[in-house]
Amino acid sequence: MEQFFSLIREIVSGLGTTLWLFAVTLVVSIPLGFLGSQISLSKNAGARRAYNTYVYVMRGTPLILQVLFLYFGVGLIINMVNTNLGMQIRYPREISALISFILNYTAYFSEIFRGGIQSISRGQYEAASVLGLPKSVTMRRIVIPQVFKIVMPSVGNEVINLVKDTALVSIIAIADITKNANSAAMRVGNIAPFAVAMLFYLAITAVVTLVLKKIENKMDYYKF
Amino acid sequence: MNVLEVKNACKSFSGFQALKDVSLTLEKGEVLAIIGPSGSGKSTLLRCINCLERLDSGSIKILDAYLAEDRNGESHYLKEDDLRQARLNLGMVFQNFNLFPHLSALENLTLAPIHTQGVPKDQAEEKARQLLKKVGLSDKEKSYPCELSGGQAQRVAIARALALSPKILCFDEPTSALDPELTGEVLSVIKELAVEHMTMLIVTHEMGFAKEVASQVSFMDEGRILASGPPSELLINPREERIRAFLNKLITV
Repeated sequence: MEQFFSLIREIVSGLGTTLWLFAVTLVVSIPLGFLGSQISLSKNAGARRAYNTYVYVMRGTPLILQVLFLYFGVGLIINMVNTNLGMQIRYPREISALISFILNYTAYFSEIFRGGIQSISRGQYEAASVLGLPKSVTMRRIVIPQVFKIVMPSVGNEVINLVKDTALVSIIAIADITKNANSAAMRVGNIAPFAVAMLFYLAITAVVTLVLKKIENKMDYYKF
Repeated sequence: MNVLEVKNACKSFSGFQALKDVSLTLEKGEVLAIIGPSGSGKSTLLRCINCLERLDSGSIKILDAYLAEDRNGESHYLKEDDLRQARLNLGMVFQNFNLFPHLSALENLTLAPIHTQGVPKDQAEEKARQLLKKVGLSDKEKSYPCELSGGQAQRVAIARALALSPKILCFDEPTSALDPELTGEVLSVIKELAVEHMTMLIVTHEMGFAKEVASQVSFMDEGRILASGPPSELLINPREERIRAFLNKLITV
């Protein structure tokens, strides 16, 4: 029993890292995704093409490779700078992983938002226009509230995915739930730690699902 | 006094000439019904007057302000902010209502006055309630568009247009998206506005309604206004063969 509790403690010590990565990625990449959707809908063809290339790379390669590439790639550069210029810049692996996740999820969110914005009918813009509403008011009061409802289910999917995707950071030896479970399993020589880790993820997704459901219900007061 | 003056309006969509040199004037208190076959340019004309589409050439003048001025065969529009202000003299009611689905009936009415005219919220709401009463929907102020019938939704849309106190109200086939039994309630609201001498421009397929409400009728075909006149002339005993053919088809169908 004592051994079981120390196992739990060991895995729990990775919970903070998992939750931190999850929360910060969400909070940063949702607004960035909205900005991105504006770029992909902008009239500037060059900006649009550049942005679409970025989205293509982010969605077209495995996130695990992106995590590895950014960590070791930037690490290499920083090493070079440090040795050549005699500096001591640190490159924490957690920050590297976070940046990878933000870059990747921003691409997905921006595509979701773009689709949502494009699904608002022309009639809504025309009604706003004949009512003399300036573009900023049209966006804030008419488009965004409706887009919010439209994209909620897709965003919810991504949020759930993100909970589980955070497990990928164990590849660069960040001590999250999965990494700790793996170390514990190697030590004790059975799969119990994996099962415990799974329960943790289930608990997190249960909470997240509940919150998403609440938000969706809140949006239920009207239909299109 | 002319409140609306359209001169030599031309508009093409990728090679297709939707409006060919259309001119019309609207006097204060006048109700002009525009009739004609599908694709004749009626809706395009209305959409151009409301600046939802831009003319290639020709001018649009509302009261004393040129929304679009013709210079050397090209329409020049007011700058965006000025245009937005000038267009507030025009109200527009769409075929598909285009209510904002996430806002209640009352909020649909108050949004524009609050944000474009800076009307305080309580004043905007008071006026909105009066207008909802006027269109017979006092009990629906908290309803969302999805909870309204087509006829109710269109009446809210009319009230929404009136909330900005426009000088001219435009209707683009206001009853075409409605069940036949719901058209009556919308038409009677428009009739009431006519009685109050609201200046109106109505694109419609309801000949009986046009006959009853319009002071002038214009018949459009292939991007031109073929003929205009009082409904007693144009709708009952038209001289033009084209108009007679059109009206006959409506009756036989």
